[in-house]
Amino acid sequence: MEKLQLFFQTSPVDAVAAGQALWLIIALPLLGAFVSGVFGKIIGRQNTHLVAVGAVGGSFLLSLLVFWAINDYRSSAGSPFGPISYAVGADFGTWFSAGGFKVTFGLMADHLSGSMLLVITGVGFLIHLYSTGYMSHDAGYWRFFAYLNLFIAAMLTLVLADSLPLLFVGWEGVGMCSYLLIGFWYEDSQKAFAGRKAFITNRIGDFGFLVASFLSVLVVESITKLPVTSLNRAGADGAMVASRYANAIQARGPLAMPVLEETAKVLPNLLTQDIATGPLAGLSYGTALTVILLLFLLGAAGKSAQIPLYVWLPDAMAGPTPVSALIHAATMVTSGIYLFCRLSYLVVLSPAAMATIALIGASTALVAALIAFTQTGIKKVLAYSTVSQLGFMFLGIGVGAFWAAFLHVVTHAFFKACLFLGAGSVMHGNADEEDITKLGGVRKEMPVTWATFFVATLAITGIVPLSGFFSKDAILHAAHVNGIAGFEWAGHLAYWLGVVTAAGTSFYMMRLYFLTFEGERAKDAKVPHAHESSPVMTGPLVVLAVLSVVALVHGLPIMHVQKGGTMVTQALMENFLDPVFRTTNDLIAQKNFVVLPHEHGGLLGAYLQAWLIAVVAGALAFWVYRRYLPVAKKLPQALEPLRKFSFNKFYVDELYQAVLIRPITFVAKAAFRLVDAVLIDGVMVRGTAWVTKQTGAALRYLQTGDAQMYAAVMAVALAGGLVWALMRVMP
Amino acid sequence: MNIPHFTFQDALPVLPTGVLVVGAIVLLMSEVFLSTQQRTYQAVIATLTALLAGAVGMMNAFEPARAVLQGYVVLDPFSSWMTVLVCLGTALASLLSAGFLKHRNAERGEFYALMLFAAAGMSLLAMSAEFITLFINLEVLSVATYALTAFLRRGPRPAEAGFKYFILGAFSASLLLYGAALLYGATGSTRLTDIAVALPTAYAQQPGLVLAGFGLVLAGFAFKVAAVPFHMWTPDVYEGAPTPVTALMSAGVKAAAVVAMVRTFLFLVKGLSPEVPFVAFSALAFLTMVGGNLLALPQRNVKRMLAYSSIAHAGYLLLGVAALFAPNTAKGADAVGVLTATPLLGSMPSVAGAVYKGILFYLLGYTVTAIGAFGTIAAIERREDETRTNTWDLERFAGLAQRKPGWALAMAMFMLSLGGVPPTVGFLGKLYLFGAAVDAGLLGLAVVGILASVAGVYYYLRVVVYMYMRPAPSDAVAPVKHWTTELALVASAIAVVALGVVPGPVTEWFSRLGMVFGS
Amino acid sequence: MNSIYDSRILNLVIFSPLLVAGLLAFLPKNEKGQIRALTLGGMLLNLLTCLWAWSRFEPASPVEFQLEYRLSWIDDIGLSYHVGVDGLSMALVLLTGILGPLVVLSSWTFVDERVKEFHLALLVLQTAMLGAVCAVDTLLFYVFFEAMLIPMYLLIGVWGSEERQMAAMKFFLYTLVGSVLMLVALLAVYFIAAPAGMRSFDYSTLYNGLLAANRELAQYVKATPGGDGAGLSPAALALFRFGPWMFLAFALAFAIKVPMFPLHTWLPDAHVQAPVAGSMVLAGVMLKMGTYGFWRFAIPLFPVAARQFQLLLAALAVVGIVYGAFMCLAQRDIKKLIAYSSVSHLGYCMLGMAAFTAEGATGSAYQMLNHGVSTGALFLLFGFLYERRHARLMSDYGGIARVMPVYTAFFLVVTFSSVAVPGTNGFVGEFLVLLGTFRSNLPTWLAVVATTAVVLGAAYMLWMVQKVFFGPVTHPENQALKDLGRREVLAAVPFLVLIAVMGLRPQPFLDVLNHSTQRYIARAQYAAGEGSADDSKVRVLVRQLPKEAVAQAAPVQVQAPTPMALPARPVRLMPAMPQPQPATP
Repeated sequence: MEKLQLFFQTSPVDAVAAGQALWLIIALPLLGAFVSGVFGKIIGRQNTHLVAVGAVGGSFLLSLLVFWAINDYRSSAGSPFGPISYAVGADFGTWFSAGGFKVTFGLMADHLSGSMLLVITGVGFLIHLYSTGYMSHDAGYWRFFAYLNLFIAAMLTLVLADSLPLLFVGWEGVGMCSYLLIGFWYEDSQKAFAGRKAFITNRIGDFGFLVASFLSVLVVESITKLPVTSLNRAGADGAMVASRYANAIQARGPLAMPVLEETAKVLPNLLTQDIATGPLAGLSYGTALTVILLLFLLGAAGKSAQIPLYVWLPDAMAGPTPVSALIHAATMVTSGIYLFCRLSYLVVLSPAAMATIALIGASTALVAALIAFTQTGIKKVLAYSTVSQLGFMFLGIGVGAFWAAFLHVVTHAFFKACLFLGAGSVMHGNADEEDITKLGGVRKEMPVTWATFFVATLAITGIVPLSGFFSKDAILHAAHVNGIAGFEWAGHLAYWLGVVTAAGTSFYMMRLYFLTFEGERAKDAKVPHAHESSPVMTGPLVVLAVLSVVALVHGLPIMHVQKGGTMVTQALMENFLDPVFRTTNDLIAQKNFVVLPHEHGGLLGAYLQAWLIAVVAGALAFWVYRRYLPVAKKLPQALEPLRKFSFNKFYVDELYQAVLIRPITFVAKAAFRLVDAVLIDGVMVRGTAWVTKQTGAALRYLQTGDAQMYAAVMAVALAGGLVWALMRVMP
Repeated sequence: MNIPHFTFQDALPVLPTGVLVVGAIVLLMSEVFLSTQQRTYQAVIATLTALLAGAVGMMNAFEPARAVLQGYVVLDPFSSWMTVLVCLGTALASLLSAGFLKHRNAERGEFYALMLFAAAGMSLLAMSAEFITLFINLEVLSVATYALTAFLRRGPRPAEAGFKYFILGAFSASLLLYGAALLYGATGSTRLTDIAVALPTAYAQQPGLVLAGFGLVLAGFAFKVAAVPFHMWTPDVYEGAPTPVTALMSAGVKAAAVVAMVRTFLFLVKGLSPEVPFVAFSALAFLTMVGGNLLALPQRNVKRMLAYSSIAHAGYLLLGVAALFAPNTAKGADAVGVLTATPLLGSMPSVAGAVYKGILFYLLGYTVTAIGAFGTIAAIERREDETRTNTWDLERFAGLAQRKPGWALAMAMFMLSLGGVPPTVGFLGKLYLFGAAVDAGLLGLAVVGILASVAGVYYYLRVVVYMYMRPAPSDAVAPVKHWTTELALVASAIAVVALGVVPGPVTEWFSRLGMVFGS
Repeated sequence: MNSIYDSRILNLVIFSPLLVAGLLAFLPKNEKGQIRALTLGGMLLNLLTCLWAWSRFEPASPVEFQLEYRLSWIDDIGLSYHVGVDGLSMALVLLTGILGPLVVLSSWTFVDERVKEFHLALLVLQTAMLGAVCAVDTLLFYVFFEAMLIPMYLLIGVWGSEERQMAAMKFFLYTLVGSVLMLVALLAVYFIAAPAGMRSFDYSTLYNGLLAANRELAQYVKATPGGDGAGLSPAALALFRFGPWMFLAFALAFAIKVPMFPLHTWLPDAHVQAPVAGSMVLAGVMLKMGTYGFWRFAIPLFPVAARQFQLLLAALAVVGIVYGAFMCLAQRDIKKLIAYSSVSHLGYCMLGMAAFTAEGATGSAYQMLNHGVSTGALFLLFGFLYERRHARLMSDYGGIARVMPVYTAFFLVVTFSSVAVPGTNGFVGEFLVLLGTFRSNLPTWLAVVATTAVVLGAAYMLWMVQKVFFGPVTHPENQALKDLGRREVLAAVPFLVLIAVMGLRPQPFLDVLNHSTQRYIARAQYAAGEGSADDSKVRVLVRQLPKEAVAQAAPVQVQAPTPMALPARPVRLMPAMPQPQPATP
């Protein structure tokens, strides 16, 4: 055992080399994108597949090496504040700098981004593989793989970036790719529109992200202007901190992750203090921080489809299924959670922000689940379940269980990808039939798909002992026991919402499962008999299914470590991410904004209870869809309006249309007609010209051509002049 | 009584005039003794005479300023340069006339002779320093131009124009004469130098008399300069007169009148309360700049439009004159107005030199530009169409750029120069005048003027629009080609650009010290 | 700065197009191929000279105006032919040089009648624009600034579409009104800045001449807000009384050119009516003359007034940003949409400038280049489509992506650059501008409002893209559209390269801009008493004219006349009094 551990902890490549090589991980898919995008048509389908899949595979291998290097206990990444252990990184020079601002091409991989690397490239690889089969009939294959590779590159940039602006490159890059991929079949205006909707909703989030970044700059700047004494803190002398801080900003720019981490370290003593200089003067650091975090929340809500910006994700299912699996389930949509894990040290300093995040997450989870109850599109259900699961993750962030949230990111990546690919396989085998009420009984025709789908369903519903169970229930557990200082009620509320959602989850997932696979084939099915998909498609399914089982090890509470003198048991993932969240944990310990339970007791109880919920809800679904409906054919009248309401997604889209989009377009048109055309151009511009011209025309009437009249005018003018002069000079 | 003895010095200023007169007589003789059909030589003679006279005038231009002929006439660079400009204008105009008259087979020596006589009158007018002299020269000039206006006897227009011009001209001349008489009554002299000396006391005793004389004289000049509201004859006369004559009038007559006016009033303002002349001139400038441009705006008749535009340009000149007479007081310095001077740095700087230079340069620029513009019109108009009113209509220029790129380019140059768009001489001239005005603190007036000039650009550009952006009509007429015309046009086009880009020595000449006698 | 050629490069840069135009004049007008080829060659030559200048330009050097060349011209008003480039103008020169050949390529087949005049106009325009950015003498700048109008006026009016004459006239008069008022203000500055005899239109003379007065005024305004200017020195008093007006006159001229809300209405018409080349030059370079004018003249010359109007400028800029975006949402005409997007983008330039912070100014300068590239590219690309279909409404298209995939790819890239997706050039500029605004003394909410355009920009651009490129092919006549040809790709690729390079490696450009931004900030802050009060940072140092030229610019004094030669008979004579005479009560 020790041997194995040692083997994992001593990597063949040393940290520096690994850090220097990080850019390759991004460059490979980028190159792949370029090749398949520009030459894809020329080099043909097979070669394009080779290039695209190869590129991702290559960067998967690189990621493995890097991951290994990160695990190396000797590894450390350089940073202006001394080396960071269990991380590799490198700075590839300045991107741009102006005045006091600077951004560098700094890449960094620690346990957090390392795990993301594996998920992205690993799952990405499988899905690329799957796509070679899935897109085998599409003429636009070269575009598809170019976009897909480009997406991988952007996503990798997002997780590897060592500063917010660079992270934003990935952040917007993935948004752009999802826009392109959702609208991949652009000839269908609906699909094109869905892409646009996704991008613009994301942009609303990005607006928050940008403003938050700018405000962060202001905060950082104001800290540099503070008297050094106010930077004193336990184990660090203010003057020394100030100088290092200044150097760090000078070297890496104010938005580099190390700088933000250091900011978090100095903030605790300042939270109640007012900002003295700069545009934010008068605001207290605490308030500023809360505002910043809430703006980041807006950004994250855009990317990760949380209330109020979740509306784009269900429509995003217009894209090809592999895209839904990769982008809208496994990777991109989790970048919001990633962002908050990155900035966890800031998050834990603002209970208000945490409470908001928790409640947003919980309510999103519930709303999405409720909508999922009645959706009939197989991918729609999965989409809403994604939104719901993302809600869980935000709930975890909100209650300070970052590791749990992230664990759920990983496990969710596996089983949700598996579900989507399974759904894709089902559609592939059923002439692209999406409506689950028109499927049924697929189980026998598509055994592999069925098996994997079943496993994944169990995983997501949280049946012991699958991975989903551990991750989700770790979150619920944290919500149950952790308290947000001053907002305990929020924590509890979130917990109960979470529990209800958990029940809902297993209900709608089981509904999906039963309607699709069990029972006999629906009358109005497109094809009488489905056919199992090719191995290139089922292969990934199997792998993902296996993964969604074995991922459970991350959740096992098997690590026993010394913490503050006492021996505590940690889940594998918690322990694994410990170096990442060290600052965060210190801050929690220091400020107690998150009240942690002293002992992990009652673990079993909580788990059991969650398990029961899942089972009961699942059973209910079984009863409703296998026993009741096949007989009664329709819901009782009383429930019909509820069903309709839920089926129409609570009319949120219509609401936005009415309160946001229509007014804006109306104002725009009105302003164009009135202000621009009439007021400015008509009155001001043409008006002036018109008046001038008319005056000229009027004056012409004096020009009668009559000599006496001319003479008269002269005489009058002369007389007038004389009179004036005399009046001026006469006493 | 013994006769005052004159030296050759006294003859210097009238030398150019002498040359012109001799040339004129030669031309008249040629009518008597030669009877060939080919009469372009007359134009050549006239041109050469004018140029020779100009050369002589140029020699005078470097003489120091002084009074000659007992102070009846002055010899100073200002008037000498004026002579040069007039001769230049006359030369160009007579070149234009050759083709114009030939086309109407009205080539007569008298025409050129009259032109030269008019030129002589202008040159003398510019240098007269005594009212009787001034009046006589004014009449010499006027009578010649009356005759020229009505030279083409056929058709109602010329006759009407000539008659109108004569009546109103006589009226205005009488005003001037009356004013002179009043001033003589007040001061007991007709010689400007003496008037200047006697004026302060006279003004103190009977301001009414002096002011009346002042105003009447001003009115007399304002008529010749065509300043609003004394401008009304201009469009009718300019339209009715043969186009080359119009060119000469718009350039030469106006120039001479402006110079004479400046000279006269340099003396007449002595002792007057300073804001009287200032306000008088600023008011004239204001009305003229605005009125001229506004009136030109709706014109479709290009010749008439140019007539109005020449009024507007007189306005810019008057702006310079107003700057010359800006009162050196702190009064009104707190408010920027159209009729107030607000020196930028508090105290009034000496702008006289800049103004003289500005006036001369502007006149030079305007001479070449206007004559060029009228020349183009002269080549395009048709005798037979004059009864139909479309002979000068914008349509005439439609599509000229495709048919005759060269002509169109030249005309575009003239138009842009009139509009004061760089890099043409028109821009530089405006720069000088407006510079002087701003320096003297005539901010309000300068802004009004510059805005009015934008309105001007509109109607100048319309000609360009027609030439370049409208298709040629089916009955498009080609310009009458005659080598003299083309020579004149090319010369003035080159001058417009060259003077605009490299005014070279000219500005330096114009800024010689002590330019004006009596200032 | 050692090579003898360095001082001559700019003359080549400015006048090489004019020389080629001279050659072109001798070609027969129906030799269209030759004319185009010659023009293209000339533009490439011009580009080479620009690159040469770029290579000789030393970003790190403390000298403000490099590659300087000065020649006495009209001495008696102190006008000299004085050219030189600082960071910003160098960058603009390069931009102009790069656009030149592409413009010719863009209208290779588009313009087919009066080809010769067209290319003559292009070449003359190139010279005028380059001259304007290189001019160090304000009057020289003004001359070039005005000279730009005529060829552009012809481009729009002759080769434009239906409403071209109205648009051309509107463009000309709109711009002229502003610039003539600026001329009056310029004259006023000219007389205030230096005493008679020292006067000159040279930038150094004007700026340094006003420096002391500006400092005095700034301190006065700080000390006694709302004072009546009593006790100020004449120059400072003049600035106190007329400064705001002169600033407004300058600002008006440049705000029209930019164009800033609410002076923008000429732009949509001009763009819509202009031919491709016209739109490209207009958007690519000419609008920058406005921002450049603010940067070089309006704000540095009148720092105090600029400070007074800072909020107004910023507010108008923000209104422009948002309002322009809203206008885009209301358009059906694609060219109009792009034109309004220009209004929005240039709002960023103005905002960054009005922020008076290093980030803002840098961003603003960089945004000038970005806009030149991305909007120029948009007009170029749409020009290709227009050439095929001669339709401008979005409803005339749809599903183009299927017929013209390569074209669509190009257009998408440019679109993303225009909506400032990170990694493209647009992002760097916008990010810096907004950051600078947040860091500035402007109210933060203003900056927040400006940031909303991030969303709106995406909204209208992608809306347009969807209408034009996505969905089914609705119009049969679009079925047969041919994809980009070799020449068109050749014309478009440079833009894509620029977009990528300027997005990923902006630093080299920023380095070039660095010194001029620092100077700009120092000069803008000079008024606020902020920044250092020592003039050495802001004073303009230029090569002086040879002495005799200065001597000739001596004041024009009007002497009393020489006494007349007295005739025999005594005549009462007295030397007249000099003008102007003292007032009589």
